[in-house]
Amino acid sequence: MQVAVCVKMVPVPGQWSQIAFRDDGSLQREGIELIINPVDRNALEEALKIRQAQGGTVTVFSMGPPSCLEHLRETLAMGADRAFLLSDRNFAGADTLATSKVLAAGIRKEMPDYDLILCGSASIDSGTTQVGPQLAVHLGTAHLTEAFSISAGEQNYLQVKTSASHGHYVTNLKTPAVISVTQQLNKPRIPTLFDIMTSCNKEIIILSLTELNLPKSESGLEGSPTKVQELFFPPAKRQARILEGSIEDRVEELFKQPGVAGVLR
Amino acid sequence: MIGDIEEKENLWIFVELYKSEPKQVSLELIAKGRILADKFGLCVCALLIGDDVKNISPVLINAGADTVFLLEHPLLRQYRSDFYAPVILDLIRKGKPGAVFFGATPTGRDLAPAVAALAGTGCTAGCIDLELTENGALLQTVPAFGGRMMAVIVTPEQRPQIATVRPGVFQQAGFSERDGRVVDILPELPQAKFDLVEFVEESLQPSLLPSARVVVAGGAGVDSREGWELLRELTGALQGALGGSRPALDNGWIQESQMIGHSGSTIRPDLYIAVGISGDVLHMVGVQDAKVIVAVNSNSRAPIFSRSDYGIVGDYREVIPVMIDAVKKKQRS
Amino acid sequence: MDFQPTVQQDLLRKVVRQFAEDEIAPLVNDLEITDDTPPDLVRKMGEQGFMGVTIPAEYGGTGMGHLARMIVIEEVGRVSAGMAMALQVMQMGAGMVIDWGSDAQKAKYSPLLAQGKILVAPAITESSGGSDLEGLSTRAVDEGAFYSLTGRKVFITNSHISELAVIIAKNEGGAKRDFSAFLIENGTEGFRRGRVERKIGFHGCITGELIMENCRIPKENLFGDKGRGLAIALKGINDYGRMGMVGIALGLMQASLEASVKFARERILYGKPISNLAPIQFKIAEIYADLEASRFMAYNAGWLIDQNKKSDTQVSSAKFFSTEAALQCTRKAMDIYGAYGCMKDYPLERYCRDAQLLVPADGTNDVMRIIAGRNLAMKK
Repeated sequence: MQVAVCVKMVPVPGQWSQIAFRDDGSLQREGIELIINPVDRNALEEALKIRQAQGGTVTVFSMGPPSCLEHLRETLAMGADRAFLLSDRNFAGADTLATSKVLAAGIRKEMPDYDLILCGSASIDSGTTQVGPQLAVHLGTAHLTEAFSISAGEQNYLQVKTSASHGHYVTNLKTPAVISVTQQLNKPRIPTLFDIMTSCNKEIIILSLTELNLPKSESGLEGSPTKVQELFFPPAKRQARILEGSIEDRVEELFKQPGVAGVLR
Repeated sequence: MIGDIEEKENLWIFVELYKSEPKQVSLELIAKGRILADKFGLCVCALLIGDDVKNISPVLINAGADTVFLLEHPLLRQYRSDFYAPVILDLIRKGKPGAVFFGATPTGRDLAPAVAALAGTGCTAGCIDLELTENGALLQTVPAFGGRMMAVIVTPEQRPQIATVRPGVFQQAGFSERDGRVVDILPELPQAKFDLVEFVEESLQPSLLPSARVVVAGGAGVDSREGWELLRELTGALQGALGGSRPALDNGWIQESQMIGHSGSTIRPDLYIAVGISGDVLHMVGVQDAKVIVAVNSNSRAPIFSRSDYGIVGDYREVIPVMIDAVKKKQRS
Repeated sequence: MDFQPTVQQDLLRKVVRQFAEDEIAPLVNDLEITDDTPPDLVRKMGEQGFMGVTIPAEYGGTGMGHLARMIVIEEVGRVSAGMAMALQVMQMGAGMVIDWGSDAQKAKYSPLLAQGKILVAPAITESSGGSDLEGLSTRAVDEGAFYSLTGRKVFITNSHISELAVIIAKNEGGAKRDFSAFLIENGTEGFRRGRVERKIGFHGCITGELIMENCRIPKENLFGDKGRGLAIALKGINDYGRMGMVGIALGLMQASLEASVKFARERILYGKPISNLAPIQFKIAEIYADLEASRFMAYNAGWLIDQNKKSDTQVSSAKFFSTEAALQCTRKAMDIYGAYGCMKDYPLERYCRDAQLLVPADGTNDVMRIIAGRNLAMKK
């Protein structure tokens, strides 16, 4: 099975407090480390398992600035056969629609014979959960989201379980298709030192706008129907009074407060 | 054209059903839509899709809808993206709404982006607030970076403006007997893209959370069986209900029905005690209407302290036993 | 001069850190109590390729080298100094077989050693000490068809979990510095394990005795050329043993730094986090400076070994400097924690205990000063 995996590099959560505004209102995020969006690792792990069971290839696609290159090396160390970084100044400022168009263009160009595309269900920085379904629309295939179990059925069928509010769906899906996965799906492997050595011989190819046959008007800020009008730090509606003293003193003080004492009766 | 309502940029709400009843979030969105529509003389239209669901229409109208677009078909009984998305697209092309709202539920998050991509328009995910301006622009507020930051997103050119909205952020309205109309539409179903085998119901224990006056909840910081035993004991002493945040669910300490926050329960207790919860907006959205919030956290810089009323900075393993003793002592006296 | 780590080094650090946090960190409390090396963890570290970091690919390793090894030990040591100690000696055993083993020995053992499927314990130290090599009393008698070894090796890391040992022994009747090395397999007649030591720290890493009583060793198990025993021991200790201690020191200092910063930001005194207080900031700055200085010495020494350049001055200096820095840094971090630092619920007291073991191991720091000082002051 030919499997494509879409991954996103996100700022490491421990450093989100360092993200600040520049004078022009844009985000200052230089110097903040990037990591592979955690659930995207589950997508990659599942692709590797499918390859192990059925043969085929695993190819990673990621849209981002050149600084993502070194992180893609990690996907190769995990076992992906090759990786494409879709990187161009014109891609900056993309919303999910423009992002999914660029990813679709990359997959169409480099992997037109794909059987399955796996994505993480949500990114931790923005939490949109939209790229998977939108990618499927651009490629004209079926999509499923919130998959926590994928097993191979007969022929080109996959049996997929996806979680919903009051239970889960069981779906038989004929490839090609796009599936967004959750962290319950599997435990991503940690690359070995041998994998690191092997990854150094694998290719990461950078593709720019001109190589993707995509009009500039459909990518980046220009191709994004949504725009960020304003970014702000939420005003605190509450501000905790930090209680002081020994733990006993603090608990006693807490239980004297009007809103708290009332419910203790 | 459907009916005679395509003149204005109306507000449409996708109605999500569970066991032949509209989900809470859909009613909340209809109520919010009503408030926004009234400002500018727009209509609120509910998209009711399913099989034999006509009798739900009055509920939607009483919740604030002017019009119910009713699309019934045996194959639409269960939600599935391959049928629902094209059917909604078709309707959008005919009715030309200004905006379409979906609940940010697993279904809404599966469906809305696909509809938006088909329509070539923008979709804003997981909104916690919506405002409408005079020129029809929808201001969609979403948290970013775990709620550290807020962004206002607009869709300046394309229509409709599509948004998924988190459950519990808007209040449901209780209109009595409103007038409205039901427009029957015969859906044209496309080819199936997959074979939906079954929906497996997972029986959830009825949650005590929504009605509890006191709720104690644990988060990522409570990471041992002993720790959860302490919380259980405190909850018992306070005669409250025990809940948790997303990490507590992911780590297997609580059940789905006990999760508080976005994609979990929204609660309004008199007293909420958050233990080892950092205070991510995705969680706080579920407790913002609590009367008093108390935070116990070892990290003095945790965002929870700027979203709560009283804070105890310290190790919960030391703090909670003292609380339990104090509660018991108070009850004896 | 380029201070930018390579892509491979960055990836290596990331991967080992992830392994240490996922697989070792959950065991640390158990290790403190049981003081046993979990075989499952050894197997996993072997599969990850940790033991074969300096072993060439043709023998089943990765051949990443000694600078890479430093990164591996540092990241394991950041989570568990005990496991880092066990690991570094596993690497040393595997490395010595590659450096000195015959083609037959390498073919037989190296692929297994490189992936941790078997372990070899280098055994040099005796109750008389480890640095005074000429004072070693284990004797090897050439009996014609075999060698007969008698003696007792003490403080041997991994003594009770290894399948093989490299024993340094004095050639009976030879000159003062006439030593040879021998490979002994478990189960060899006359070879047994003795007591297990109880140490102040490095819990989870087994240290014990290996005893030879007229132990008959086949001729083909002579390790390296006859009479090369001291060179074999010295190179192993320099390239691996001492560098390993430096790596553990880096790990302990990194852990101390992270713990200090975290605690200082969280601990509220008089309404403010103590990270606002200058004396706390001083301590954190000092820990950082010690760590950075030690790191540069360590990486430079590792690079010299990788280049096959003379490195004993640099290795010895890095050993005494970084291990004494680690003693001070763990202590300073403990001070930042105040009374919490003395509690078993926090890792600081463990860091402090582990740091104590860095000083005597693989040559006391006085010996390190002698080696570096003699090279600098006397040799031209």
